Amino acid sequence: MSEPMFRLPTAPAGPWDQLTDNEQAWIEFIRVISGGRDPRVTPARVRALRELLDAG
Amino acid sequence: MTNPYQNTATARLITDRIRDLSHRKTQAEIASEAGFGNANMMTFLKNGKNKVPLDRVPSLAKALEVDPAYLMRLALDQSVGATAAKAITDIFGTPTTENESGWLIELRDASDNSDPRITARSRAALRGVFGK
Repeated sequence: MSEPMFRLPTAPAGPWDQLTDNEQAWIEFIRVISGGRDPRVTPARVRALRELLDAG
Repeated sequence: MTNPYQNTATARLITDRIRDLSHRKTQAEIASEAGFGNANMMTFLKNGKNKVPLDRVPSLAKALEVDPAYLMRLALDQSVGATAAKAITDIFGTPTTENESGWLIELRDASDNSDPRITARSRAALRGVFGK
């Protein structure tokens, strides 16, 4: 039997260990502050993200 | 204790999704789509009498129209407890949801792939964007 009992699904970004430490930190922080609600990507949120990155 | 999984994040998510989808599908239809022979299973999952069987996560996620990685994270916590769930995800990796993949794409694009560190200022700004 070579198949594991179950396989955790992964999204197109690929396995977690292929994200950089910084990317993992961003995602983990979003999970914490959103209370695990898996927030959608919306134009307003993307604008806010770009503004905060532009601000440095 | 008759409802050991009452008020878990998984039970709350299932309750919310059944309510949100109620104009399109019945609870019995969701149960059938998820592969549950007993139509009452959705009630048991909502009120926390039963936990989500891990092997049903993919079909249940599809029936509830939620991200399977998100439901798997919650179901793992519910099924084996937070400590064991953390050990499992430490070994296999944390499943990333489709929304989170979207955020990674936006983050990479907005930063010109500079792999930005998350600073105190960006944490404060993110709280304003995503916080309650």
